[in-house]
Amino acid sequence: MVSAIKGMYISCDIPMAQYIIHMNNSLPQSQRFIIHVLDNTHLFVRSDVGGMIKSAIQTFREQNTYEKP
Amino acid sequence: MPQVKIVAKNFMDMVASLPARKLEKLYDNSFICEAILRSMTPLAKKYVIQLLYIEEPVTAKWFEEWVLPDGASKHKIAIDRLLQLRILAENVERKKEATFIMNKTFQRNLQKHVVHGGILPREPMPLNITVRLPSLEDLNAYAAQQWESFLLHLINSSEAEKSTNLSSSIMKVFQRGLLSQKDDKEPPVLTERGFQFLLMDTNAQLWYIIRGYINNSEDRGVDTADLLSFLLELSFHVTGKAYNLNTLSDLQQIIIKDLADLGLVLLQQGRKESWFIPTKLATNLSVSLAETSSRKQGFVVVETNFRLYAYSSSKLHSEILRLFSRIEYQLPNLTVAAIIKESLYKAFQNGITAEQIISFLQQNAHPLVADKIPSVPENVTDQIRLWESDLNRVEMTPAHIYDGFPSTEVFEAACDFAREHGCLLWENSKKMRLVVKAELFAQMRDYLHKQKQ
Repeated sequence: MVSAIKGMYISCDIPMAQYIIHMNNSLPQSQRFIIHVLDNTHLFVRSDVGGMIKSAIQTFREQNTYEKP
Repeated sequence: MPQVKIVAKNFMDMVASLPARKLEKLYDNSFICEAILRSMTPLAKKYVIQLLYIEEPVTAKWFEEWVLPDGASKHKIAIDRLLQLRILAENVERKKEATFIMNKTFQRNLQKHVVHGGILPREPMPLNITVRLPSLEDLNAYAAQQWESFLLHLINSSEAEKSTNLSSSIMKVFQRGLLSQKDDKEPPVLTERGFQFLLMDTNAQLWYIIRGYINNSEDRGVDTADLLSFLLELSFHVTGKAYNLNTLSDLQQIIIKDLADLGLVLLQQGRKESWFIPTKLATNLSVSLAETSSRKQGFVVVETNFRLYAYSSSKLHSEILRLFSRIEYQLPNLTVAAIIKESLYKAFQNGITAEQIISFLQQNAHPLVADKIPSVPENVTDQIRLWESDLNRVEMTPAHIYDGFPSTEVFEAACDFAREHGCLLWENSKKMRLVVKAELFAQMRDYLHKQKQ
């Protein structure tokens, strides 16, 4: 019997995928959002975490930048 | 010989979308007929001229005989266009074949125009009244200055330093697409489209505003056909010659005042009479959008160390540069800026795309570098694009994952079904898993139910 799970399909490059997996693993069990890791560039996650992933990536990116004061 | 070359396609689309009654009124003006004639494809022009003196209907077969077999698609496009503009009317009778007959008003007016030549409804005023006419350079400078203050008003609407003497109709054009006001206390903020508007070419900007103005005209109670006919007529006037204001109707006088705010005409008053002088912007109304204005002098030099040197003293230019670069030094005739990641991120957040920034830099390249290929160094353009794509590293699509297929055939069938609808995102034949876009969910469910039976 075919089962369908609703969620969000994420397509990105390998470093980003690894970062999202790392973010997922650092959360407690109840808050984990990855449903399946499809391959090393695609993930299937819960639908509601889109905004959270985007802002987390943005903070990560800003940590790596330097602005001349 | 008027400077009109081709009327912009957009003008024609607007004309074509008018209802039949208004088109009839429009065709009473022989200048509009001429302008429409000039804007058509060569084949359509030929048809119109060939039918100009034929009073009876012409069968469609005759038309087809005038074209070689490989011109069939051009023929169809021309005929469609003429039908759309209601220049040709089709009569389909049951036994006889389709015939075309030309619009009487259009025909009559074009015949008159061909015979008598185009005479404007107003003559330039004699020189003894208009003693000192501004020279063409003065006129261009005036038009540029008005347009700049208009755009500056758009940018600095939050500061509102300049007195808001722009008419309410123009403000409405702004508010519709370019500015947005969250509430009445806060100053209005530029929307995404507003930023993109600032980086466009002057002709494109002019067109956008005029289009918005025409679309708003219905709300204000001004007839669109009258407005369009007056604008087209204006584009046939000679730049730099004065025309008496009392030859205009009341409605046209209101329109002229709005156009003066935009810099399309210059209003002047003598002792008894007052007159208006069309500037280059007005006659440019008829120039096709496809011809880019390479008349403007470029002012930006971009170097490979990501530095920008803008040889301009205009406030508008420095405001535009401030949108996407960090201003380092500002001198009386030079602005030095640097393109850095943070300034670009700010621009991207405001909705400007990398392509717009790059095309702005290329179109406004200083004459010294404009001849080089490429006018903007490739490392700068590549880096701008890379920074833009860095913001979108992750792509998200709402979807469903399907698992537990009973057999490979069902799996393959489901894959093909999803692929046909363009919703297949990912599949794994070994584990028999399928990811399909969320919009296809209901149809997939029905399809799988049907497969089970």
